[in-house]
Amino acid sequence: MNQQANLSFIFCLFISFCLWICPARADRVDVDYANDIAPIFTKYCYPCHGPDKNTRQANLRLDDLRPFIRDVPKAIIRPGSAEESHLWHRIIANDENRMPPLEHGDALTATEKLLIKNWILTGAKVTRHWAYIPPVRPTIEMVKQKKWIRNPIDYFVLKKLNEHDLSPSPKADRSILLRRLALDTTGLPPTLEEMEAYESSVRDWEGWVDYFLQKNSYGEHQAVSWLDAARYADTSGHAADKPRTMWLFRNWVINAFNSNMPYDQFTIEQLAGDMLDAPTESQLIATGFHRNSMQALGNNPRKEEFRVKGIVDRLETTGKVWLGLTVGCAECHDHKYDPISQKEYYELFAIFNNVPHLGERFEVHGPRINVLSPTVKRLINYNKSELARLQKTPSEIDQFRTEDPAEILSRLHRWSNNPRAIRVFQNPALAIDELSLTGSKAHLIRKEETPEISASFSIGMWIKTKQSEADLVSKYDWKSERRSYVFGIGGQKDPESRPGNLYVWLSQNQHPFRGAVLYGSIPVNDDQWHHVAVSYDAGKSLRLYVDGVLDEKAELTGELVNSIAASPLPLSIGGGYDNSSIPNQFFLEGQIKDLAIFGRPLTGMQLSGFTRTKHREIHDAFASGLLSDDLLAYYRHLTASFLDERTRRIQRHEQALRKLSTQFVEVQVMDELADPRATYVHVRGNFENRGERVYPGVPAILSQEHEKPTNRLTFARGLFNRQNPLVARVAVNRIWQQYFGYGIVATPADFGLQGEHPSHPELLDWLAVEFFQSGWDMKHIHRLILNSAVYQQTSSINKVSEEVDPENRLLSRASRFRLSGEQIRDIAVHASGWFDDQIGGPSVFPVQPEGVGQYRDVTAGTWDTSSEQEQYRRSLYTYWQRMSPYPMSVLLDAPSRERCVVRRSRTNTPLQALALMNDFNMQRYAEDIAERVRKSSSVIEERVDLAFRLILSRQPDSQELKAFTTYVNANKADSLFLVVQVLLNLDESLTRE
Amino acid sequence: MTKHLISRRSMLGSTAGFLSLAALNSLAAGTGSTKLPTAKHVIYLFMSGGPSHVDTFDPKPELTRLSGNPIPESFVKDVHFAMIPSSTSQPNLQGSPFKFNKYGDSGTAVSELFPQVATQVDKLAVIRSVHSKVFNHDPAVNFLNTGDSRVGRPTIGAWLSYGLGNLTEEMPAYVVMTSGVKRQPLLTSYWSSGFLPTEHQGVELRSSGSPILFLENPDGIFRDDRRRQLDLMRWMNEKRFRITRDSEILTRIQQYELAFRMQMEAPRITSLKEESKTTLEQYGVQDAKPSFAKNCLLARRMVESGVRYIQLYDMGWDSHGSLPMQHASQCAAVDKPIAALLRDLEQRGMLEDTLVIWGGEFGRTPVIQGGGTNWGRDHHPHGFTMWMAGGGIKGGTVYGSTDEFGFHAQDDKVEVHDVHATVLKTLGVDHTELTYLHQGRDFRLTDVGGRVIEDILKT
Repeated sequence: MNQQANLSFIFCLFISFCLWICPARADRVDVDYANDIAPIFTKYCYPCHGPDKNTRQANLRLDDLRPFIRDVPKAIIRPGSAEESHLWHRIIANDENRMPPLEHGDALTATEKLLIKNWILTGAKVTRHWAYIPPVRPTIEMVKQKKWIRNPIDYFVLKKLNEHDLSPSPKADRSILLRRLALDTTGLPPTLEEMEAYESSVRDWEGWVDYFLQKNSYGEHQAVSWLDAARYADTSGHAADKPRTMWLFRNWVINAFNSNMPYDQFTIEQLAGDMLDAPTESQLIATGFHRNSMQALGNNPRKEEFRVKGIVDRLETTGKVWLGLTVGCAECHDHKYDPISQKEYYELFAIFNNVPHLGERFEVHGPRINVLSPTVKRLINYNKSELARLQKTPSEIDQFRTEDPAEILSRLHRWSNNPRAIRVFQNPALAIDELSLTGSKAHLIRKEETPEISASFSIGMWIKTKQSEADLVSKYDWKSERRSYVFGIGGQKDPESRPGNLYVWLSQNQHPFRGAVLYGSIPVNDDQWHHVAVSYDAGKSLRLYVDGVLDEKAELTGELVNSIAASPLPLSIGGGYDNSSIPNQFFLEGQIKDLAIFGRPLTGMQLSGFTRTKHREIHDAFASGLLSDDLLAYYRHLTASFLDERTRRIQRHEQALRKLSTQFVEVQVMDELADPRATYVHVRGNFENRGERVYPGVPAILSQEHEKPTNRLTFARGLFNRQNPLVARVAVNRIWQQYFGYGIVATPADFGLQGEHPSHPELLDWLAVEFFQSGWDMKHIHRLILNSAVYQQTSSINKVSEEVDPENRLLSRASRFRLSGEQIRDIAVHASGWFDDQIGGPSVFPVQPEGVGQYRDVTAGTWDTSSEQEQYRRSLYTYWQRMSPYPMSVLLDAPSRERCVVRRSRTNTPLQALALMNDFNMQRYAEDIAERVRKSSSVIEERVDLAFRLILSRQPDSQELKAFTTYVNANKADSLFLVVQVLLNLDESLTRE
Repeated sequence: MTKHLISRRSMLGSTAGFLSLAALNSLAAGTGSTKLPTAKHVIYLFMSGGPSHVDTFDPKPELTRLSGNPIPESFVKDVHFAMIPSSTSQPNLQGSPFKFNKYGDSGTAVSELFPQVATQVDKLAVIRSVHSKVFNHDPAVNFLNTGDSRVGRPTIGAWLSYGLGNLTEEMPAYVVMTSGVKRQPLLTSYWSSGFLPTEHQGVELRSSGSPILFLENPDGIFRDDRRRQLDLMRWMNEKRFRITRDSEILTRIQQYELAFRMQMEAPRITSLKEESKTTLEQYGVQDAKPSFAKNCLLARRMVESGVRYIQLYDMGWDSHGSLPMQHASQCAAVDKPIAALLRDLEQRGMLEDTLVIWGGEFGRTPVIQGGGTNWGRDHHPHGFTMWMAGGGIKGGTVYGSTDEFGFHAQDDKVEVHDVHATVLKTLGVDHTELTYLHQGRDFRLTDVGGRVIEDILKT
């Protein structure tokens, strides 16, 4: 987005700025038409003497000058003689002959006039606008300071610097470089482990570049800006703003980046995946790109208008993203500056005009397909394989019916030596093999893996601990009125509780309590291995087992309710809740083995497999080969539930499969009408005012040869024709922009005559050629940039570069710019210790302030805050509601995603300060970080040190360490939280240096 | 939003600080092509949903006389209705059930729905001939706010924040308040900055909790805690500045300090505690609950504090049915506060530099929708009424007219772009000069149109 202001009173400033951008001296002899003259004509003359035939005056067009340059007296332009050029006299006139006419604005500046004069004097040669000439690989010559060069990028930059008597800046500090690299590639700061490995130089720079480009978070980070361009959102926009499932498209984008899909394929699948031969589901999902357009309900005659708006949006987006052309200007009339006629616009329109528009009345929509989400697919596969296994090996379970004593003994022996062998048949709803807990953090179970316990259940596990108060399994927080069930040792210091013994609480309501309390009578905290278990037969019994033996003296109070409340708390293993949304108390210090949770009541024996006595008994019997009646009964009891279980399980898997196979996600895709719509020029952009009939076609400017017929697919393929002057340049420019704040062309969506001239034209062309010659390898371009010396410079500004290169367009240093809202929040989430690194999936709803979006339409659905765990997902997954976007994102310059944006604004406002210091989630993450730091050490200096490393990815210097330590000591109890907030809000933290 | 240190980056990039300073300086120096402003602030009373012009400010005796007869075909040729089914080709005319009387020295007619505003009629310039083609709510609101029915363009407030900056540092330049009964949604795009930098977007004043989102410190963090945090931050930031020499850091320090001041001042400005009982009564503020009355009084306080542009959305005007009852209660809720606002601004000498605008996204059809006692009126963009007051507006004026039924704008037709051109003119801005280069084109609020309605301006 070009953000030059054009208020007349600051006009002069911008002229000087523009001159600075093209640091051409007016009196030089090598005036180039395309670079120097065309921009002047564009600015002053095109409105009346440009490509738009409807506004053209006097039949003079300066965008197509050749007929007017003639070596005759009184020509419009006579090469070699300004005096004999009519044009010259008109631009220097001071009377009513002056061009542009007084009422059309200011006269040309002296510099501009001089440029034109010199151009005429030197022959008035007409060259084409640079961006319309296909790029060729520029040659690399020798330059000074060769040693600095690491790859060709550096050569081009150095050449420019030399021209301005500038030197590159020194390399940035090591810690800054690592943070820069991590944030630029993955959107996240480096982890503590990465910092350590980097410090001990386990890889060289190139190795680190490859390392970060290989991380899955690379795809997530790249997706953010692509989703801005794709105007990805979770709602339809306009007043209705209905929810729509587009997240599979987001998954597609992330995966495409991570698998480094070549840019041509990446493009073709998104623009026309549906038209490929036998498109895969993934290719169809890719076409969601152009189905992200907004969609109104359309209850009236404007239905067609909204359909047309959707196509206008698709053209605008295609123009911005692939062509760097402002095609939208030709919607109502011929383009005033660039050679795109209105007819060409509608020819392009015809290419995109064949998507079916389905539905009626309020249910207007385009083509959609039903897709099974990755999670559902995984579950289906799981159920299928389980079923196959069960059906294929009936004998194994049927064998349990055996009467052969030797076989029974051998089996008992095998199982008693490996209790896990039994678990396989028991089919737990959740199983964890081994956990080692330090007493400071619980193990959280993902939402989708959490068993749904609403009535009967049982839990068993081996533990070894000395704790007298610790929660083993919990979804229970009475203080915050979120009760469900908890199984542990002690009883949270309840006066009735028995420290060191087992306990269970369960409640039918989250609040108030209604349920059962059971306190055990056998201590389990002697630092020996014990099998502990609880079994609840809803409405009937609640039992505790230690080492497979029923605790008969356990004391039950309350009521054996028929159901258990479902609290929103994540299922926590080895830690409990004390008025908190995350486990914060009753942590277990010790070990857990063979934990299993079942959605049905089992006995302690079935849960544990074997008591120690039984174990010995079986050993002895196995050795002697004599099966006692006791052991036979034991065997029958043990296997009874397995035998029932098999039938039950087959039924359950079959049922699950039936249910899962209908759990589709509906996604919007493109489709092409078999019978194309007739397209007409819309006179003055009014769709009801039909002009000439037009047929699919591509603007001549693209020099795009493609297969016939002209349609979306051939258009998309044609973009990758080597003669297309724009596609490669526009793409590499956007990549460049990620690393330097500005593109080589500062107007990434406008490479036309009104766009900025490239700061390094040769570099742009070199990268463009490199891009297509590498087979459109995106990571290759990223790698080149990251490995360049230019990239690794310091971003600190020295006196010389401040004077000569204030905006850093010459790249005499690295750029320093504020991070995106997503990155800023993610740094905090990442440092909290609770970061959820799951890739992809449906959008999540972080806590947002009350009242936000309260006036949205009822059709827009509600903001149902996601689970605690999901509060720690990357910002990329935050639900994007166009008509009421997540407030903090908006304050930090995220677009609403109503329309395509290829460069966000980057502002610096007091409301950002308020959001970053006071937003609920930012507070929560700060609290988490403070807690993490507090637990890491009792030494304040060490805590400060860790906070610095987590947030700023560096260690404090001695001055800082002293200042922060003093601050912590001087302030109140939660001073660590205050310090963490300070760190999170530092310019250094919000900035990519 | 606020004036802040000019960083070099901001010249190339995006910030209003620079522009506002430039603009204000040039205004002060009387240079540039900008005319002297007659208004410094704008209060835009937006009746969201579309108030009926023929029941409020545009009396139509012919409509009353022929009420119940089908509208002549010539009036509805090529007219689309939003909700009246297309099978009803000539719906019936429906006269207003409300009486009109003439008021003030100007004798401007106002219906009995606005008895209090009627007493202020000599301050108003009533424009009865606004028209457009946009007849759905959200495109029409966009059109009134941005000059284009599609999303993506900056709203008036954003243009003003960008072009003129703010007159206070303690409040945002562009504040939005809401009230009323939700019959139609309010969308954040109504106060969007479009393609202007996001700092120019409107800030919604919240009706409960802290007045501005994120204004309050977390629980247990007091002002001295925050001060000490800021001191430590400043020390660190300055240290960083000495190393990097990046002036953006100084801007950041400034923004955090401003936020700190805003935390102190904004709650005061947005509270009615300092208002006398008499004032509260004049506006009709009855309790602490959010209301249009409260918003009007807050709007005055914001003008006092220097806020550039304040937009009040009153919801509930979309009377497709039960119009007599719904409009009566809508008007009852806004009539007294509007009158009080105009009077109050005048008494405090603030009306002369505050432009007050009243209107909806369209009017309502002079033809009936539905029937029986539950009759209503459909959306009607072809001719409707807006009014302006204060800020250099010639009071007691009636400009333009609709036809005998109030259907089509007839004399002195006013485009939405003309309204915008006039608003900018009162602020001393030539609408053709407030432009922004975006996607290769200089965009402006008035798009390619706009004509200043000189007749409603004081000479």
